Amino acid sequence: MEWDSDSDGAGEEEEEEEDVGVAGEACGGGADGGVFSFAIEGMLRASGPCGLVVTDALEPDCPIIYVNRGFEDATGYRAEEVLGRNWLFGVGMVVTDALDPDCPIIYVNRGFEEAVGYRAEEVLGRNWSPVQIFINVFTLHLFTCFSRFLQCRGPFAQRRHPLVDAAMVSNIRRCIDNGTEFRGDLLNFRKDGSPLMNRLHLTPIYGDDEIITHYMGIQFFTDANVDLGPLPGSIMKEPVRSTRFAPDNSFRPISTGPGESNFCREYSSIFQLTDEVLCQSILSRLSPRDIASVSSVCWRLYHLTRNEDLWRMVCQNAWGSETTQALETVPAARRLGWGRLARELTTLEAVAWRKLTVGGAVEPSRCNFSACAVGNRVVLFGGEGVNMQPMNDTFVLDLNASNPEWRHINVSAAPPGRWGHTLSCLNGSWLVVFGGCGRQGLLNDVFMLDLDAKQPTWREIPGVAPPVPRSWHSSCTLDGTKLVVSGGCADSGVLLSDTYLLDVTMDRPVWREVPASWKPPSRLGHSMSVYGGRKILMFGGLAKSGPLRLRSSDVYTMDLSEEEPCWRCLTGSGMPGAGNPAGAGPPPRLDHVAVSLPGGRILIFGGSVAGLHSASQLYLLDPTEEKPTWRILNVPGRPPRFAWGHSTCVVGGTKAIVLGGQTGEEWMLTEIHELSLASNAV
Amino acid sequence: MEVDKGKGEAEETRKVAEADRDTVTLKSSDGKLFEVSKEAAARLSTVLAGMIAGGSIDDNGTDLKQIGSEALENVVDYCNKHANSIPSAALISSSISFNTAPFKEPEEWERKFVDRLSHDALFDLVEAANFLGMERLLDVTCHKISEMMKGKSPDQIREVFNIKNDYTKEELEEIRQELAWAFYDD
Repeated sequence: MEWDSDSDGAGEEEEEEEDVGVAGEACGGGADGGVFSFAIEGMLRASGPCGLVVTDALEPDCPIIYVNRGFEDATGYRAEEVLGRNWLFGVGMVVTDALDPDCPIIYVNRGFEEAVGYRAEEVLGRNWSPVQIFINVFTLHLFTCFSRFLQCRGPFAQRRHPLVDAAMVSNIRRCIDNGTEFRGDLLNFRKDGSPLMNRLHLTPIYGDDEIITHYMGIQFFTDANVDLGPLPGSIMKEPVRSTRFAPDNSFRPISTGPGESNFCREYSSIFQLTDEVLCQSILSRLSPRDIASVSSVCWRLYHLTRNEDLWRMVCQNAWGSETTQALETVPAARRLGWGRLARELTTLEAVAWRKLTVGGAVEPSRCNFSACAVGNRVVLFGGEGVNMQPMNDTFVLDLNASNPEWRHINVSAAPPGRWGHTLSCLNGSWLVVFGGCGRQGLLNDVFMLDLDAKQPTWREIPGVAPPVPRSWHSSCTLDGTKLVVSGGCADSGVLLSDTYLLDVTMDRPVWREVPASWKPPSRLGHSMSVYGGRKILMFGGLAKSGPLRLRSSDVYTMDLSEEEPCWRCLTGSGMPGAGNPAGAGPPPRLDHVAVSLPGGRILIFGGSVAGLHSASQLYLLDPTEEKPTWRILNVPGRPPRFAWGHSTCVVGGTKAIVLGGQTGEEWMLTEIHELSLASNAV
Repeated sequence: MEVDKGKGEAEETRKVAEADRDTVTLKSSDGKLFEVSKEAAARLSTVLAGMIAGGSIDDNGTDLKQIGSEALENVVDYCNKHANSIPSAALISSSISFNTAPFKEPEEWERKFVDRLSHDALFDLVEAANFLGMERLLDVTCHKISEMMKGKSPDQIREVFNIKNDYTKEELEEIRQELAWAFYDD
C-alpha cells in the first residue's frame, strides 16, 4: 500500500531505455519477484507515468472505482470514460447460485469464456468457492479491461493484437487463480492504437475474512515503440525504437546498429490468426522436427513453440494418444517435459542400459511365461513350471514403488494354465491372454483382466470363429480395442501364416482373418509391432523356407487401415526384389525383442541368434522412410547377455524391461536390465 | 376492411413462410448478403446452430461483423458444397477401418476447395471458421496451412509465409545449436 501516495504523478524525466531494460531482466515469466521489487522501487523514484487502477472485487461486475492521472495520461482514456463504464469493456457475465452453499456457477456468457480462457464446460457446475468466483469475476474484468481496450489495438479492435504476449496473459491468469501477486510486462495499446509497454503489478487485497475484496493494479507505462504496420483508418506515430520478443517472454529493446535492422517490420498475414488457432489447430499437426524448424523462423514462432501444451499435442499427434498416455504414467516423463522428451525420443541421444535388482519372488520358478507392461507396472502371467506344468498365476512388479518387488496377485477365475502364450495390454489397464500350450494341448481361448478393477477377475472373451489353437505365435494390439494374433505353431508342429483380429470390446466379439492374397512364409517366435496408428510390422522368427525352418530377418508390413490390406516385404533376404541394405541389418533371429518407438521406428535386439553374433546389439529401422534402412544404435551401459521377447516389455513407452539373468534352467526374475530411451527415466 | 384482412393474412403467411424458410441470410462486415441452407449452417457451425435455435437469426441478414465478404462467401460455398457431397467410401466403410486419428484427413473436394484459395483468403477463412465454430472447416483449412509447413526448412517456411527473419546472426546461430537435434544434416 505504500506505493499509493508516491505513485501518482511520478516524474517523467528519466530515460525510457533504462526502464525497458530493467523490465527485460526483471520479468522473465513474470515470476521473478526479487528483481522486480528492485525495479518497482526504482520506478517509484523517477520514471515514466505511473498508472493506478483500483477495482471493487465485491461488486459482481467488479467495476473500476479509481484511476489516477498517470493512467489517464498514459492510455489516453480519461477517468470518466473508464469508471463504472462497462460498455467500454464488453463485460462478460457469470451467474452463480447463491442459495447453494457451494455457490456453483450456473451460467457464463461468451464474453467470460473469451476473457478468462475458461470454457463454459470447464466452469459450469463446479463448486467454486465465493473467493474463486470473485477471483474469476475479477479475471474477467481485468481481461475485458486489458484485452478489450489495452491489448487490442484501438477501441474497436476485436481481438488481442498478435504481439501481445500470450504467455504473460496466462501468467496473469495463473496469479489471479492462485490469489497471488502478478508482476510483469504487457504490451498494451493506447486509444489511438499506438503501442504502450505496461509494467503491471497486481496485488490482491484480502478483507477481514480472508476473502479477496479488491484488486489493485499499478501500472508503469513506457513507450513500446513496436513497429506494428499501419493502423487501419488512422495515421500512426513514427516508431522511434524497435522492440521484439525475446526468449524469456519479455520485450527488450534491440540495440540496433545501423545495418542490422532485420527485425519484424512487416507481419506475415499468418499472424492475423490467434495464438490459440496457430498452436492448437496448425502447429499441433506437425512433427517434432517440423516444430523445431518452425521455431527457427522468427522470434514470434520461437516464442509460440515454447509451450508444453503444444509439445504435448505434437507428441500425441506424432506418436498416437496411446503412447502419450503410456508416457504420462511414468513420473520421469512428466518431469522431463514434452519438448525435451520429443527431442530425446527423436534423437535417441539418451538411450542407456541400466541394471537393477528388485525384491519379492516369482514362485514356483518357471520359464516360457509372458510379461507385459501396464502403465509403470510389469505383469507376468503363467509359464512352464517344473515338470512342464502349465501355470496360471499372475504377478505384478510396480516400478513406481520406491522398492519395487514382485507380488503375487490374487485374481479370481484364472484361465487354465499355459505357456508359450501371449499377454497384451489394451486400453491402459486391460490384460489379454491368448493361446499357448495348456494341460490338454494347444489353446485358442481369450481371457481378459482389468488390473485396475477393485477386484481383478479374469473373464473369458468368447470370440466367434477363433483361429486354430497355437503357441509361440505373436500378438499386438490396435486402437485399445483389438487384439491381433499372427502365426505360431499349431498341432503336430505345423507353422502358421495367418493373421487374425478380435475386437474385445464388442458385445459378441467375432474373430476376423485379415484377408490377404499373399502372406509371408509361416513362422513362430516372430515379433509384431504397431506403428503409424494402424500399420503392423512383422520381423524375424523361425520361418518355413522350403522343407527347412530357418531363422529369419525379414521385415513385412501391412496397413490395416487400407480397404484391402496386403503384406509388403520391406527388407530381408527371402524375397525376390527385396534387398538387405548394406548388410547392416540384424542377423536372423527368433523370440527377440521388438520395441515400437514413438514416431514409428522399431528397435530390435535379443532373441535366439545363430553363430557368433551378439544378441545384445541394437538395430533401428524406420519403416516410414522411403527406403527403410537398418541402423545400429550404440548404447552405453552393460546390456544383458540374453533378452527374450516373451520376458521383455516396454514400460511407459520409455523403458524396455528385460527380465531375468538366466543361469541354465533357472530364471532370476529379480534381476532386471533396463533400456531407458529417455534421460532421467528412473 | 377487406384490405386490412388481406394484409393480416399476408403477414400471417409471411411469418409462416419465414419460420419454414430453409435458408438463412448472413451479412458480412461490408454489408453483402449471402444465403445458406439452414440445415447445413446448423450442422456445420455451432454458432449458427445456436443462433438458429435461439431465434436470433435476422431474415434481413444476420450481421457477422467479424467476417469480410470474401471469407463469408467461402464459408457459404463450403456449406453448400458440404451439403451436396457424398461421404467417401473410406469414411463410411467399416470393414477393417480403424480411423480414429485425432485429426480427420480432408476429403478430395475439401482439398480442392482450400487449394484454390490465396494465403490471405485462407487465413481469413480460418478466422471465420474459428469465429463461427465450424470445426470441420477449421480442421480442413488448418490442415492445409500445416501441410505448407511440413518438412520445410526455416528458410522455406519464411518464403512460403512471407515471414521476416528477425534474428540476429548470433541469435540464429544460438537457436540453430539449440535445435540442432531436429535437423538431420547440419
